Amino acid sequence: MKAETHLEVYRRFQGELRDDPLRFWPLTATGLRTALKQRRALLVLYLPALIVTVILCFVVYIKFTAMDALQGKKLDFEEQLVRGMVLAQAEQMLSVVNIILQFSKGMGSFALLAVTWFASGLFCEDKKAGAHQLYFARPITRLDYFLGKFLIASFFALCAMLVPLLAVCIVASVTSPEWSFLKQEWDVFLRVIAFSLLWTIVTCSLVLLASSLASRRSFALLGVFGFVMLSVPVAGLLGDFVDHDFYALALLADLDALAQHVFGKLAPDAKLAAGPAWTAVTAFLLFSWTVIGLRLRRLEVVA
Amino acid sequence: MTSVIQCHELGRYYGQVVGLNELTTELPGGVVGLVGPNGAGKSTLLRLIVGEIRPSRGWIKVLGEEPFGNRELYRRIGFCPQQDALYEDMSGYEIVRLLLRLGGFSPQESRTRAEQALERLTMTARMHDRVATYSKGMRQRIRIAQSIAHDPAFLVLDEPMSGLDPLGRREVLELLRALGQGGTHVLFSSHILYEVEHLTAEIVLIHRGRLLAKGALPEVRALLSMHPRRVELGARRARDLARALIGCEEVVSVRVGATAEAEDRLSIETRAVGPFFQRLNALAAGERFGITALRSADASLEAVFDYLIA
Amino acid sequence: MKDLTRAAWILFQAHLWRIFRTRRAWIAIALAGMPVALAAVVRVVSHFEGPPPLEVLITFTWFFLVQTIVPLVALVMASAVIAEEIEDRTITYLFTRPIPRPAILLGRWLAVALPIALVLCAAAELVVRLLEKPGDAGRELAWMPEGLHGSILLTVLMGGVVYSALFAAAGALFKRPMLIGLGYTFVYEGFLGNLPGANQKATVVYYLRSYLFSEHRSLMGDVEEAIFSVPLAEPSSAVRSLALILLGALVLGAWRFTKREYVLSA
Repeated sequence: MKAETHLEVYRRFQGELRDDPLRFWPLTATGLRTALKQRRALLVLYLPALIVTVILCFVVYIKFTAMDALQGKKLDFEEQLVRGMVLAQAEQMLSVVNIILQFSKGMGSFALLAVTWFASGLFCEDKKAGAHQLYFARPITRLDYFLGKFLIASFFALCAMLVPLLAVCIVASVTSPEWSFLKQEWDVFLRVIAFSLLWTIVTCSLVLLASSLASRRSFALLGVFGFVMLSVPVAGLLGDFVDHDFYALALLADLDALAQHVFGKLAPDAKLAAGPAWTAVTAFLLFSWTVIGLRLRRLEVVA
Repeated sequence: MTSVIQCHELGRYYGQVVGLNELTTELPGGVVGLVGPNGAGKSTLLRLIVGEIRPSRGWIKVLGEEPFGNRELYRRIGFCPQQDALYEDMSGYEIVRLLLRLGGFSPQESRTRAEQALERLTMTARMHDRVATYSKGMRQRIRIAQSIAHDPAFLVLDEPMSGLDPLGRREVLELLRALGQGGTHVLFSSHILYEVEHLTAEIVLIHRGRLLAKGALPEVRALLSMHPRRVELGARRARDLARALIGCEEVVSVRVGATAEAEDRLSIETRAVGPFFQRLNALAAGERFGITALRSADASLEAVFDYLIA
Repeated sequence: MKDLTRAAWILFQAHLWRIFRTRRAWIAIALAGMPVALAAVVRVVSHFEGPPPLEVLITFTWFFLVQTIVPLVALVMASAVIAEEIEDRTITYLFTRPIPRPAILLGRWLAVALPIALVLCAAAELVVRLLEKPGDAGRELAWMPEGLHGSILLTVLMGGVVYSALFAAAGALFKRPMLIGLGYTFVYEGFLGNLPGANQKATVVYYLRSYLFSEHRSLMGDVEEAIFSVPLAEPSSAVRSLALILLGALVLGAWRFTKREYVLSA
């Protein structure tokens, strides 16, 4: 073999190797860069959410500005009547907190869809391509690997939930007279963040569970949709004919109940109480993390 | 010799990527080796030949017919693909037999032919085991077996030696040689140039989707006039021989071995091989230079490959 | 035509027994087993005595089995008819045989349609049997209106076969048949099929509903009656329409499969 050197392309490493606590971060960053190349999917999935968010912000804006416009004026009888009607209508039209609650529930379902699309292949495609062998030949732990992937999925969930919800809250704060929304309903911000984080953890765990069990992305997609869709009639049947607490088996019912509970709006005669919903979600999270952990352990052993 | 393959301005594009570009040629029958670096377009050409894909432009004919969707042609063609893909839960025997049945053979004849093909590939002992339990070499043998089981007139193989151990490669080479001698036209692609050379003198060389050379290897080499032929000599009086040769007009350059151990070695470049050897004969007969070795250094396929690709 | 049937038959035989060795088949069996398991649980722990109310039967068979399980089982099994061959890159071997390409689609579809039909009919039968308590006077299903038992089984059978043809065709038409199938089942049919109006006639579920409920309208209930304001088709007309949908799907899939080229990854 003819000896050759290619000094022009090889650069001796002159840095310093150090142990980085955020070993999962390169995995997350790369995964996000790759996922964000799916522009068509981003458009199809996030554009409707963006439109709905804009519309809701506008509705909130209208509510507060309509109230504001009618305050502080000396009105005659007719104007008072009109004012009463308009105010009543405005009140009737929307309570901002209720808007946010309903929006949370809607965006929760949407977040599930978005995370399923972008994150269902995170584990199974790595296994199919044999990429996990490359990852585990690096000094990263299985926990780093899981965290890296989890953060990728979380990004899409938070973009679907937290960002739109916070946008509506900020618009409400800014457009309310003298920042009354922020002064009176400041806890809504915390509730929004709490619920978004909770739902993000649940949806990401579900999708990653499916990804860890499936051999390819299409199976993982089917697994997530199948689970969500099937849990509704199963929970309905058991809830109707056996015990109401079985409604908690349906993830979407849990979403509803948890949203009501976090926002403090749970009705006493609700079909599903908060307690069983929390129990179901907690049990589900424990189960999914256990299974994911076992599957990731196995990844290293079985090529 | 009749052409087995005819193509005219054959092109195939994968979006922006050019797989093949304006290939116009006729390939003869017999055993022909298709060589080229990775990404040259070998697999694309083979897929066009077996009708797996359509040309983006131009046309191609195999045994006088267009191959895409041509069912009757498939009775006469056997194809061994490069990809390692088989029905994992079936046995090798079941796969070969199924494909024979689809080829129109009766159940009994399919059984017989499958057994014969697998015996030729020395897979009889393992033919009833599931493919998932096979090694890479065994899987390759199954792929070859299914391509020859129906005695095709034209056999196309994409990297048939990949995954085989040296013994397996030799067996396949012998098989292809026997098939060629039996009248089957064989077109195979390979990276292992010395094995291509070992099996056939007829080569087709493609690079970046274009045909670079085709024909018998010595003839292709002779056409490469921009590259003087290199001849290596060993002689006891190497320097004296060098002095004698440097005066010959056929000789372009003479290089004496650089190290003490190689002092008796000469590397000569010449533009006219025939006259050079005549001159060398005359010199050797006239004076005792003690020539101990003589080798044509770049008549090999690898050398031709390097000259053409570089 | 002779080549087509011969090749389809060979592929049907070869793949029929393979089906039960695949993970998809076990997933499909598990899915079909869900209503059976639920029926067993409900019957054991429920509060109603004697034969179950017919609403319970309809909830299990129509809403759960036919509307949810049947399309899912068909999707799991039939979307792989072509997609699996392409993904596993074994389609090269079939394309280089002297067989009409539609035979590949037809043979492999038959090899999944038969197990789908068997599994779903078995599930439907078990659900119906499990919903009655042992020792009931209705042991011979006399508690059900005449003809309903047969209608349920045939609805499930027809649904499984038609959906499997649709999803098999989706495999030939689209690159991601699983996704298309999910969208069709839960978005298109789930949405369109339950919207009041003539748009329901563009769904498979309308004809299945027609077949099952045409002669048992009282089982539909007030709410459903309001939603499904479009008159149901006659059973014979529903069967004809389903047959047309099945044939249309297979013909379209076969045509596209013949014309399309598949560029397999190395």
